[in-house]
Amino acid sequence: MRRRSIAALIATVVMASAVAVPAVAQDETVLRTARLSDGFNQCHPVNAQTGNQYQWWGTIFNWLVKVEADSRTVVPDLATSWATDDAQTYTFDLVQDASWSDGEPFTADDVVYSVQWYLDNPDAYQGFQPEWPKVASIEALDDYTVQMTLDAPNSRFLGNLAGIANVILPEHVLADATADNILDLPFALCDPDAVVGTGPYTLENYEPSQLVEVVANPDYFKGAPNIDRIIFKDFADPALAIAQLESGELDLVFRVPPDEEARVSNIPGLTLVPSENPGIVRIVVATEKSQWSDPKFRHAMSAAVNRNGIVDGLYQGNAKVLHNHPGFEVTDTSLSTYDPDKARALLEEIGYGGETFKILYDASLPENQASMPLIQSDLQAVGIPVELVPTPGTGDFVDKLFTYVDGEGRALGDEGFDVATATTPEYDGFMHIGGTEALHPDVSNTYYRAPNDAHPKWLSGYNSDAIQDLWAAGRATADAGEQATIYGELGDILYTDMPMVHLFVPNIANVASDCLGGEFDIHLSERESFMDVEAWEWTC
Amino acid sequence: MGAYFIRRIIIAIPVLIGLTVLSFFIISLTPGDPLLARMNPEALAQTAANPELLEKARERFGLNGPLPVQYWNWLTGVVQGDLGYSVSTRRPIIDEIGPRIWPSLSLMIAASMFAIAFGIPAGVIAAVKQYGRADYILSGVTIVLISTPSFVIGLLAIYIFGVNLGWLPVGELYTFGKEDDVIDRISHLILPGLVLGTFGAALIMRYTRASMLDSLGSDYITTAKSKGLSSRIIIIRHGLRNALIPIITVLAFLMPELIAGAVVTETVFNWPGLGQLSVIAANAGDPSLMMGIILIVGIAVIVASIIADFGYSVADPRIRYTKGS
Repeated sequence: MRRRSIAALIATVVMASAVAVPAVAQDETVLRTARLSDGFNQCHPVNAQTGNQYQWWGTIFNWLVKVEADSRTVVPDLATSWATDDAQTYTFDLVQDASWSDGEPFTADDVVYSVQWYLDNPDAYQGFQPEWPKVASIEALDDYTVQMTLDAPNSRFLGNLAGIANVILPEHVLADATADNILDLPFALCDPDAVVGTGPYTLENYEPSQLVEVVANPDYFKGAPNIDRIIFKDFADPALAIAQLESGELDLVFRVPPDEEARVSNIPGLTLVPSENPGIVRIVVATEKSQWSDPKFRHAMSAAVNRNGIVDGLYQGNAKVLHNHPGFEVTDTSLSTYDPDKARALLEEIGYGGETFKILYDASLPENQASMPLIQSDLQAVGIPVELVPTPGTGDFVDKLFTYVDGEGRALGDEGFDVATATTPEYDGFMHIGGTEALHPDVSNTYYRAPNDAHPKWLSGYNSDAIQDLWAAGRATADAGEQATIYGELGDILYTDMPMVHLFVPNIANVASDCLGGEFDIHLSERESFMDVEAWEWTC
Repeated sequence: MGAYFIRRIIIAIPVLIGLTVLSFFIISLTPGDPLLARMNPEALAQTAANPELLEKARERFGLNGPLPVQYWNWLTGVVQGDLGYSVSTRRPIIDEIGPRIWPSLSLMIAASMFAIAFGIPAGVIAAVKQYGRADYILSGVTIVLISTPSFVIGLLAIYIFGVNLGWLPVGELYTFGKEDDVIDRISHLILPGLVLGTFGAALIMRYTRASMLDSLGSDYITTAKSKGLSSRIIIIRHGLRNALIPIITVLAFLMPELIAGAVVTETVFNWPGLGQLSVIAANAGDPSLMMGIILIVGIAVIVASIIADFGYSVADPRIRYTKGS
């Protein structure tokens, strides 16, 4: 009798579960996606740190402007038009029928708030920096017109406004936010009841390090999205994401590991969508060390490395050879063409004494794991002894990266550390991977610009008024011809002085379901791909 | 009896403190700056070289000051229910850990159930059929299960049952849209539960077999046979009942094994539990998050051992915990 009661209870539970109303309507379109790189973090730009955030923020927030699939062409977003005569004062006309997802109207006050909050709390931003530090003043001319005056002319300002940290925030929700409490606010912690945006989707569910779920906003000012729901999944192990692609539980995956490309390209119903990588793989040389200060030493390094061999052998051609910063046109590659004999001749010419060159690199990055031994072998073949200094992870790598030693031998972080005399890092060079320098020559300035007066030399220890003046001149003009001349000259200097030996950059492999249509496209900087998600369609 | 368990709980407090002190100082030896570990190269270039900014962040996350001071601040926070903030995600640690406790617990319960449901009957059969075909087959299977790393078993299971046969879902807690579907949740639990439970099942099977052989060779079994009792009653009521005590010991030690195994299993199956979180914390070099996880896991292991003690007294009525025990 007791056993029958238990069996009946179990049967009841099973039947009740079987007829449980699902959370999703049967005819709802759902896109399940993953980006096999970093994680999600928070919902406020003070903590904008990852490309994954960039992707799903593109569904719930808007910017003043955004970019098209080439990640360069600026198009309207919350700003319908803009005007500037001098690349210093920008006047934006704003969309008038946009509203926040809680029903409040979007106005110029929200733009003023977003900018002014940064200007009042600059130290609160701990990841990607917005463009707002360039703004000297901002004013709402009326409810739908905003005027910003920069501290200096900057033709790059508009394009840079599509950066992740420049999303426009709701003043009515965040008015009481301070630098001390911002990270504790429900908005920043991605509480779906608190996160309010103007985007094509609204935040439905957020599970840290697991998934983000957004649902279509029927009142989106550009029109309701075609896809009803999007799930952004986070995977600690890419192998499971590939398995879910095969089993049909994922529809769109960004940054598929290179060794999985061949397999995923054979899965029925899926298409491999390669995209160019706007970043770099390079050796940054500590040029302030006397033994590496002669540019001819860097030329010798550059001529010693067989880039095509790495591209063809390691990546089966799915990588691009780099000779200079990718944002610059390269017309003369004579200094970096593979020529071991020329490398040896250069070393002899400068009287190279055979000192060991220590290369620091993050061994957890796939780009480094296979290529470092090859690079070491190429350099040693021309007579440069190389000591590889791998770090097990990014944290240790960054820690060593910043171990500058001052004139008294104290390291960064030590008491009494004198940054003014800190010019001798432990390493002789390090492997630098990532970034988006291919998007525009100005992006490369990030890696030469002093972040503050305390650090006049950055990464390579190479800097000069000449290059900073050229970058400033490039930003000061909007004339394409003038920019071409300026960046041409700048590119020549950087190539000739070569503080960084550029090597290659692997292509990015992405996989998409054949059901994705409409205006679906993957941006050059793939993390921006969801900027126009409202125009995608699910065709199956 | 009650006093014994209260004493066990009180003794657990210095044990936990000792565990956290040791863990804290070992973690402090980890190279790398956790504040900078997860930064994108561009974000790093823009912000990381600002000493003032980094110093403020260190103060917020309790990463400044001497280590004993850092530990004391952490401990006093824990006593007040505040585990601090994760350095890598900037979120309260209680918000990171809390939602992951039940997934880990459910996985371990499923693994334990499988381990017991397979291990004990298999051990009994192997003991009763000693040196027979069943014994050799079961022993061979357990050796394979003990020897094969769980991530290998997990990946094989995913590809056979999930991808190729399509019988079971491929990882995660539930199918999107079926969050409230119990059957769906159970179907997601099957593969990771089986994978996590394989080592425990093999272990229990071996111990059960050995314990049963010992038990079945006892005089009281001979007496039971001479009284004409059926084989079933002899094996189950007399043999297994007395063989259970060492098996309970194994079950108690299974908890730390399951916790350790869950790290791999949860990663392979993208199961959102504490094991996966510990991998995330380790990769990010997040000391505060790792300390929070260690504290929770330490409490779980202590609770499991207390439950095991209680189980002894149930299995063997002769066992009673007195003032001197």
